[in-house]
Amino acid sequence: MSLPFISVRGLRVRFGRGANLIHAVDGVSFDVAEGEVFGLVGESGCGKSTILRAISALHTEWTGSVAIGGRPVARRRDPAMARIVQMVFQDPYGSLHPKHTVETALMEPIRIHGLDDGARRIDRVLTEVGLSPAFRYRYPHQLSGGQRQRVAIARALILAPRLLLLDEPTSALDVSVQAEILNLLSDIRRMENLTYILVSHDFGVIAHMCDRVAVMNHGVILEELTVEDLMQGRMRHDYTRELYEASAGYSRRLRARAEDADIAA
Amino acid sequence: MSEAILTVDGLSIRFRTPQGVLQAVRDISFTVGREKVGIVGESGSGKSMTGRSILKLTPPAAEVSARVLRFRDIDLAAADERTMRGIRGDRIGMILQDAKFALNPVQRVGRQIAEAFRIHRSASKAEARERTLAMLEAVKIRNPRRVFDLYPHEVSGGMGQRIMIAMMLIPEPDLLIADEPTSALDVTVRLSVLRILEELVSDRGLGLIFISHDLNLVATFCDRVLIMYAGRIVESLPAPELHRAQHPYTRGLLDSLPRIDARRARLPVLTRDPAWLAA
Repeated sequence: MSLPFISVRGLRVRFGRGANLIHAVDGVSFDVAEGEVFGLVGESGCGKSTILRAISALHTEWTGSVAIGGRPVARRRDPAMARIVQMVFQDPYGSLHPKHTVETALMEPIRIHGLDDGARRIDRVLTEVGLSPAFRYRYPHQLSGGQRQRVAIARALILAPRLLLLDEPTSALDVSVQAEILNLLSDIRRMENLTYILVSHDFGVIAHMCDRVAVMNHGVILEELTVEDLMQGRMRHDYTRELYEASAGYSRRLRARAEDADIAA
Repeated sequence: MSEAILTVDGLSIRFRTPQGVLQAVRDISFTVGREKVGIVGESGSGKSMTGRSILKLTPPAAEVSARVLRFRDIDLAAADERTMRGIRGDRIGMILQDAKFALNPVQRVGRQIAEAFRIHRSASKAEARERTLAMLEAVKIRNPRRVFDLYPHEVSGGMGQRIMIAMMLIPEPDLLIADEPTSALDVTVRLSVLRILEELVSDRGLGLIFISHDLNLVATFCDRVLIMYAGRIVESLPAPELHRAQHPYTRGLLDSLPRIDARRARLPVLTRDPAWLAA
């Protein structure tokens, strides 16, 4: 790997104080090469989404260092960085303003960043995400969940970013729609040579999309795996194995293990 | 399969809207014995509406019709609201996706479970408390006395779902309808909740209707699976044979799941055939 595109060193995010102090992210370091898809996997509360929010400066209270494309990420909103880094959120029902048309939603970044030629840019990103330009006059309630997520992806793409932060982009969608959105994300990445950081709790999605994955628990990275190691079940930590086996469904073996855990507890 | 606890024949649910009649459930038939029956389908397939119609908890605008809707010896289709109140919670329990929203936020959880018991059985407060503590233990809560006095916001998601299960099981129902009971839970917590459900089904001999969108989970957890599409049951088969499903919709769903063991350049996308609606 040449010089990493993203370099995260000793990232820590804390919430609360005193007895309520929570180390949401407790010293995390990783590198991502340009054009790579890097996965973050773990259970709720493990800090995976918080990492994305720190990288995108949605959280500004963190320590450590983050560099993207050789430039350090500032602990404040930085318009120049926003053009490089964009985020797609989990819930397409919550991330689009219900009273804004698709056009208004897509025009906002263009206006904020003072770009010209808004109409052409909107047509281009809508086509790119597989929606006809006629969709620009629709409101979110006139769209299906999959179409909404396409609009959210279009909004992230309109500034021509280099890095997309994907926070559980398909977990609110039905499996058949999930397949369409995952295919779309793969196509876009190939066409635009984007880098992704993908947060998911679903090992199937991670194995399908990612080149490497970091397994998180309690704010730290337990281990980093290549997708080949993940698919072959070559993991070092028992916790990773537990998540991996649990993602296959309910089995007698896991049931026996849960019994042991109950007895031990 | 033993004798049927629930028999559904020709169930249809319609909504009259200004845009015309919306057919949420179209003429479906199934039975549930002492077993775990999974109902899978995508959003809008009618699976939750089916579960609710058994307890007559569909919205007032819904028009429900069925040739037979029988629970044990009770004709649910003809039952009035008074009879239904005697059945809900007492003989048929329901577990919803997000237990913490289903619990009363300003009442201690122990009191809510005890109330469920006292409403259906004439019991003293002390007896209800004893039964509640025993039930909390039965759903593998380690310190029932402590949990008894907690408020819903003080418990975790997995604990909330166990409390909900305890509340539903304390009147000892014959049938449990679980609507996405583990979808909001982390995988490791999900396993322990499923194990509790499985034990209760086998030990107490109740029937379980397990509504879910998760094909893998249903295939591995349930005994039988009904696949719903656009308000119809398009296929019904034993859970271990789900991967041998014949219907193109089921096949399409299975194919479109990302796999952990085999990477494909693109995921096959489901193409919906209008003929499935007519079938």
